[in-house]
Amino acid sequence: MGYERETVERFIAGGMDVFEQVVDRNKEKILRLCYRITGNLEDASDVSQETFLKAYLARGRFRGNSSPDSWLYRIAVNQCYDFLKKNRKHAWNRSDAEAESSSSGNPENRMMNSEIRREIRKALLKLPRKQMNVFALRTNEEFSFREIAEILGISEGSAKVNYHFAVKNMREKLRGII
Amino acid sequence: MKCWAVSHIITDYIESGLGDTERLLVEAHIKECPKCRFEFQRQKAFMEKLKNRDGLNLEDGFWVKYKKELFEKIHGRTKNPLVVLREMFGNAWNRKIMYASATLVAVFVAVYFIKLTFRGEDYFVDYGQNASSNVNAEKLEDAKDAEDIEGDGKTDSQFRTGKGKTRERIANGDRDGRREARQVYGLEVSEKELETFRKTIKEIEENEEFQVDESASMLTESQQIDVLAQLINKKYL
Repeated sequence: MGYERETVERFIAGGMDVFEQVVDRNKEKILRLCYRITGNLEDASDVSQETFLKAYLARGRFRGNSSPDSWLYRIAVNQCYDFLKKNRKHAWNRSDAEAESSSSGNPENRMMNSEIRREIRKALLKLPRKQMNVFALRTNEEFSFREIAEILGISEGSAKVNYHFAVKNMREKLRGII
Repeated sequence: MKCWAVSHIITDYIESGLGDTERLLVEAHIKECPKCRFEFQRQKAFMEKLKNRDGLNLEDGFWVKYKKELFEKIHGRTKNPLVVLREMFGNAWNRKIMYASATLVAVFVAVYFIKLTFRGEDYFVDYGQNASSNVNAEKLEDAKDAEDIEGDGKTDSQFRTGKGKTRERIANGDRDGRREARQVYGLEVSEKELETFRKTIKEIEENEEFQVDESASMLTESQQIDVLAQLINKKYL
């Protein structure tokens, strides 16, 4: 997640070229992370764009203690959480027909995959916030625990423990499904 | 290594999150223990299934559209100075406003109480410590004070500053007498003391020295207080 000091300073100063560089570098990962939590491409797109927008407007508050990428992921995680709070009742049920129909395999498999995805999301959203964040970052983007710790502002040990319990909880919740 | 210990770190082992020593210990245990080996295989299969299941397939040109929308949003938002300010300061700005408001309220409350305290050497000391039943009556009296209670065309404030009138009030055991004595000398004045004081004032006034003319017969306020203080200090009472 390394940037040169000069690049970070230009990012803080508001250089649009640097910002675009940051967007290009992270847009896919951020979108996937948001998709993992929102379960809907349209929502994921909105939430991820809101993340970049927030990062651009609040770049003056970036202290440079962590890399801009980690800071961006932290904003994304918080944005996803805000989204879930706003859509608490229906969040788990927001399916994405477009993404499901375009996934590969025969219709039966697609249906099964989409059901499994929905159940996974349902179980994920029932996890405590920290476990959910660690789990989403680890399973989706395969961040190292050190990176996850940096993103969420927790210790590496805490990231590991939360991941362990998240997997344990997910296994219990998805027993008989996968 | 025991089975319960392995079960606690099996996730880290699968995710390659263990140090060399622990990893070797877990590997050795899994080889020997069929129960833990079965658990390890199940856990690994489960975690594999969880990964890469987002099913996200993006159409061509998605990112072009995405970036266009994003930069349009940025240009739209940056036109509104209020939004820019809010985003720049965010929660810190809200916190500052909150602290400033709280400080302002605290200052107002403090000033109010300080004012009340100063007014009230009379208010609290004279009356506040009395029985609560007297408080309302005293408030009523205060309210009346603002009006012309003597019927001589003078309000209470005029009365207090007016020449000679305070003497009468002191002599009548009025609170002003007590208050002034207390303010100047920090002395408690009892009913008995006031009674004696009234007599003394009467004696002084009846004395010929004070009967030169009408205006001379009036003791000034400082004279009245001096008399009261002398009486108390000399244990006259």
